[in-house]
Amino acid sequence: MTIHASWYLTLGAVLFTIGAVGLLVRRNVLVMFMCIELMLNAANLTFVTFARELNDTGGQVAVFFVLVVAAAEVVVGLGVIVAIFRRRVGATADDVHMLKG
Amino acid sequence: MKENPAALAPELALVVAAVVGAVASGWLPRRRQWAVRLLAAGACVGGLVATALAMLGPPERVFDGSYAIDPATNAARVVVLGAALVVIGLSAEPLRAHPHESEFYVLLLLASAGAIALVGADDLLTVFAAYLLASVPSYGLVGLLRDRTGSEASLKYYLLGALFGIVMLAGATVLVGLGATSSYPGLREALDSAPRAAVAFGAVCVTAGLLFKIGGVPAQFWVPDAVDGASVPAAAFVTTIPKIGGLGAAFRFFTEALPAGRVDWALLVAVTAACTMTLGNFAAFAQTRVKRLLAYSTIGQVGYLLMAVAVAGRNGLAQQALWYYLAAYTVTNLAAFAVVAELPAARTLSDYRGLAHHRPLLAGSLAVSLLGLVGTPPTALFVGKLEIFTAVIHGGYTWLAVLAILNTVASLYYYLRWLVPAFLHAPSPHPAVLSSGGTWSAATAYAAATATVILGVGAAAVLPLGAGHLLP
Repeated sequence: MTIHASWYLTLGAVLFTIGAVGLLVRRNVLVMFMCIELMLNAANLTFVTFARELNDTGGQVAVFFVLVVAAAEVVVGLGVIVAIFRRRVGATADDVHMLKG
Repeated sequence: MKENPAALAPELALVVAAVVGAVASGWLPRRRQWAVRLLAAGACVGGLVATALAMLGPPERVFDGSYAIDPATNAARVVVLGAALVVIGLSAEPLRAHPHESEFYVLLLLASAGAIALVGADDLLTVFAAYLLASVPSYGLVGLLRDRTGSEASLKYYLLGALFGIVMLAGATVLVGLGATSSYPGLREALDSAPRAAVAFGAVCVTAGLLFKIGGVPAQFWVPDAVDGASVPAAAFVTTIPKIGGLGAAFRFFTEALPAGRVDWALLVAVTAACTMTLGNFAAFAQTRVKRLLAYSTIGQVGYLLMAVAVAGRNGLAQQALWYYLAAYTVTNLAAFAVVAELPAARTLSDYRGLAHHRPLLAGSLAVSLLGLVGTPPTALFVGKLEIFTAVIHGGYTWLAVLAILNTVASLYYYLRWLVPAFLHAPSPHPAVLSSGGTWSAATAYAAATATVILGVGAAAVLPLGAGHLLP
């Protein structure tokens, strides 16, 4: 039995939406990071589904590509967070408010 | 299909120099990190030579059609490499013997390579890879000095960049799913029969990612905070080089990847341009800190640049107008930042009081660069604005040109708020505020201001370099 591609695409869309809402709503920077990861994986799922539907390996290559990207991006992001937490106690996005205007 | 690495010589020069510099920085003593600066400058000069050679050859698509080497890519190489050289020049003193001096140049080279690759990319996945190569080092550059404002600026820049990067990737998956290919010529053919709403969704998402790089509405939030919080060299970098890549990529994406008449992207870009220039110029009115004022001024300038993208493909004028304006904007904006780097203690507009009494030449450079940003003849941006307005009116967007002229007049106000105290007021009661940052930043300011005028006077010779058809 095969599952129709539209289910995978729907799941991808749902994951992407959860991630996007979380990124916009949550205050904790680490949770915001997790939401970014969730959205990346939703894009991965869509790529794999299209690769299967279109019989094209390009989509599967793209997934490896996105995984590497996610690792690189999170390394930089964690570096920034560590740099901030060394100087202040707050762990939320609302605590970074020195720059405005 | 040509797979010759030599075709990518300028990009490879930057990347190889970055890797060598990163390894070498582990062994170099802190006082001898200037070697990495020399290496970075050498890579930029080498890249410029390779670009000059590439300009003589015919345009070609390399690596399975995923990368185009045509007049637009070569123009991007010249502008980005020139801009990187100026940034290296103005960062010599602020970063001298800093613990992270070598890393700054390494990240600068990588992000510049990413900006060039954004323009050359002829494939959605290559564009995304280039987007990340241009973005990830920039987050590091903004927060590199590890001060309080720097890390806050970096976090804001990073979070917004990650969000828009994923939105762009989502748009790319939709377009790839619809077209069954990621290469621009293939997409152009396949999307002609795809559902209109899905194509529009994918195109808007990809545009959102590119707008983040460009710093246009609605992805402009990072610009003032990243520029204000970062060191002056990093601020000079993020307001110029990523924008070159983003605008070049948007121009190619709209003209090459989307079938004509399927979605009305021109109107979308025109409205974005109108919002961007108006928001940038009006938000700049109330600023008192020089870096923040320059940040909003770049948002305004980007609005004018987006006008050229809006009429892309309608006539031959848009492309040469875009590249000429980009070159002119880059050198003028960097001249203003070089003046700011030369006066490290002056942070607000009132600190510049009486600058003309203390440093007449530097005040002259500031005047040339700020009046240049308004578009006063004979500076380069005057010709640039003339070119863009002509292209926009020919393209049928007269209302946009009228709005841009009104914005230009309005922008004079906040540039004069900076200039008038510098020239008319008596010598500063605190001359220490105007103490010099060093000879390199001053020399860069003079050189960039001179280049602004030369580029304006010699426009007739430079303009055709940005013209020439993109590869189909």
